[in-house]
Amino acid sequence: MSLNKTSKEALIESLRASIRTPFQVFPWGEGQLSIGYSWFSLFPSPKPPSLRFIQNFPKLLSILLSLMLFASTQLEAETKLPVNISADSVEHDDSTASLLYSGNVKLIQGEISLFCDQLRLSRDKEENSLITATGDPVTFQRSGIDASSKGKASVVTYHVKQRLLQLKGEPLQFQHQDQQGNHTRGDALTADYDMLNEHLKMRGAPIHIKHTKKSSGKEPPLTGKARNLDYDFKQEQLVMTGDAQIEQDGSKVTNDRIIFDMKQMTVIAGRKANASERVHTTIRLEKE
Amino acid sequence: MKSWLGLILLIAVMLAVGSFVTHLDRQTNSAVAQHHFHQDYPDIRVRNLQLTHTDARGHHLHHLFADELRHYINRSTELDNINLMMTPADAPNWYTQADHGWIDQKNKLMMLYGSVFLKQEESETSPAIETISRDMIIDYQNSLAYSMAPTTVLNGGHLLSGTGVDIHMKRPVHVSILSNVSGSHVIE
Repeated sequence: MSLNKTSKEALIESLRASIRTPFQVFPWGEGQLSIGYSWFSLFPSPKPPSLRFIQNFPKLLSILLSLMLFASTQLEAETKLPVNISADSVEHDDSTASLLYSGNVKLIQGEISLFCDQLRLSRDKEENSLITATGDPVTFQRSGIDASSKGKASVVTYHVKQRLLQLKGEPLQFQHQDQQGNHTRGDALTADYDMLNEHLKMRGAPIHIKHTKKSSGKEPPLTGKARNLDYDFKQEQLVMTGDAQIEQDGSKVTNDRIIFDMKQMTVIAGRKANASERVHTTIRLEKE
Repeated sequence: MKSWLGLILLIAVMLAVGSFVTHLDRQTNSAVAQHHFHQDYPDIRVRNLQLTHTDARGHHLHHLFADELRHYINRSTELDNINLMMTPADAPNWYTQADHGWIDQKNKLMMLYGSVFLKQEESETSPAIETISRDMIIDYQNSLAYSMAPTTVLNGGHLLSGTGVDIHMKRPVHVSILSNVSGSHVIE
């Protein structure tokens, strides 16, 4: 990942350079940017906002395009990283155009590492690369700069191009930890982890989750269960559907659909969460 | 008189035994020398060899090129700087390059020593398979190749390395690396 870091730093440097140059040309020249280069510092104070926006529009557009280009390049670079595998033995079968690794298999691709007993490298119906790992259990880990995830299951299918990990078979467990150290853990029957869109979809009967907020100190963990769970890591939002229930320190919310916003630490249930059933809430009263 | 006769008889017997032992010793030594002669000196020596092996219908099975071939009586054939092309009917051609090798007496096995390069041409379904290994045995009658040496196999974007290799050269081709495997795969 040092390569990504370097390219990121290089891009930031080029962005800084591109921002500095046109600003120094302007006669009202107060637009010299501070080191932080916040968005607000792009608008020098003496001019009216609308004019300033029009004059700075090409710069903003170039920055936006650069950022979009950088994001897409980074994603593309990650998917194109070589998959390195070590194992006790390997067999190439021409009839199925597949490779079968056996015994203490270890896979590494960029941030992703996977450990299993047997791993098959083949192609799906659309001729995209498909990795199927089986084990007792298969364990995987993704250690990113912003967050880290790990999990285990008896079968893990990795769609390399789509950066999609499909987990199934007991004991299935998925853990996610964000940059702030907030920790979420879930058990289910199946789980689809979309690494491109930073999205997790869990299905089970029922799924159990446990969320621990690091900054909350001694605050008790939040637990919940539902039949389906959709976790958006970017939005830090968890949508639970199907006999959903969320509980913290004795207080409980029950509904067919519950939205848990981890940023705001709020729970939305009922009509606002687009649910069809009425909300049932149990609030634990403090004993005097 | 009798004692003189006995003494003469004893000497005669001792001389006879001595000469018999000497005869046996000479015979053994000459056999060793003869065997030594066959080990060191080939009865046939061919330089810049090009050999084509076909089936009854004239279909090419093997093409063998070597800088030198040495054949020994009642023993295998030795080859230097080998280039072998196998043309199986149901699979793409296989090419073999080796520094040195032996073909056994029954012409069933080829034992390749030193650096060995084995390649199968690409087919419609698979890219070329290139193998670099050492000290390999090729059973070209059964289209099998195996080695216990460190081996590297390249197949399109797949690079495999490990210790020991087992190759089934007939279609469907199977390549197995037997231990300490590491692979690098470029995913498109």
